[in-house]
Amino acid sequence: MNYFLDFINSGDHFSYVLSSYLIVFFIIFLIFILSNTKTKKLEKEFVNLIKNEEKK
Amino acid sequence: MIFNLANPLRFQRLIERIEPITLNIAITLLLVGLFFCFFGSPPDYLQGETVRIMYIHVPCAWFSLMIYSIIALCSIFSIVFKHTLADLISRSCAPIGACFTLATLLSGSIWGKPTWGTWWVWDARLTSELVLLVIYLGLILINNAYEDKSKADRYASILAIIGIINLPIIKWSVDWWSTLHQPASISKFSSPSIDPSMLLPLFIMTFSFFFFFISILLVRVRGEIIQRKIEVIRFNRMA
Repeated sequence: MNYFLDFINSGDHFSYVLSSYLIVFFIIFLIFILSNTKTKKLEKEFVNLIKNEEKK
Repeated sequence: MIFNLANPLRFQRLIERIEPITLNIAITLLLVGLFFCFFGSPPDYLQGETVRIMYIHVPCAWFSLMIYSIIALCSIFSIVFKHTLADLISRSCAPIGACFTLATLLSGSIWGKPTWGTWWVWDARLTSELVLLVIYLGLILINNAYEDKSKADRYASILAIIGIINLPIIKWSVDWWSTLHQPASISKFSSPSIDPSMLLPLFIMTFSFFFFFISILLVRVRGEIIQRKIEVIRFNRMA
């Protein structure tokens, strides 16, 4: 706990560390969400195509 | 077993089973890792609290290189054996690798400001990592530039193989040239020049990022397989 309290009270260093963590996690979660969205969209498109094929 | 999985459809079934497991492991390790990063590791005697940036910067840098190595291997495999799965993995890896490289550059830049007094310097390690990002962007551009996917995969494979030359430059640039970037601290596992209290969160975060990478890769490969199926259906319709 002492390490964390020292970190929070470290002034400038706190903002450097926090911003780097936020940026890295933002990038990783962004690629994760974009990949998921793209795949779900393709899955939907594929299901629709299969349905249309069956109707024919 | 491996030859069974080389079939994209069997691989897709396997992906659907593994995907949620890898994501859960990644999130659990991330939470444990963050606990050790902020509660279990001391500040550095020289760099102070900014040393905590290492726990995300170093894994990102390792993965930027590892992912490129995977792309390069798949490219060689694709050119030699013309295997679709190698192309799918290579194509899926490129945007993830670009993201890890961008994260490395940005977190390194933020770490550089309090440590070196500057956001950026045209130092061999930083410049070669920037070149890696440009190569990743080139691969993404080539993959999306052609309607004929086999043509795009072939050109991307050639670029990926040429780009291998950048990997040893990134790795040993700190030894070959006089750079502002410090040399590797964990080059030897038997006697790393880093305290175990800092090594533990670093490894937990590395494993967490590894499972995130696997999880994202599986989602993207599944998407690529579905996209190819859609293209086959459309092609059959037109024929």
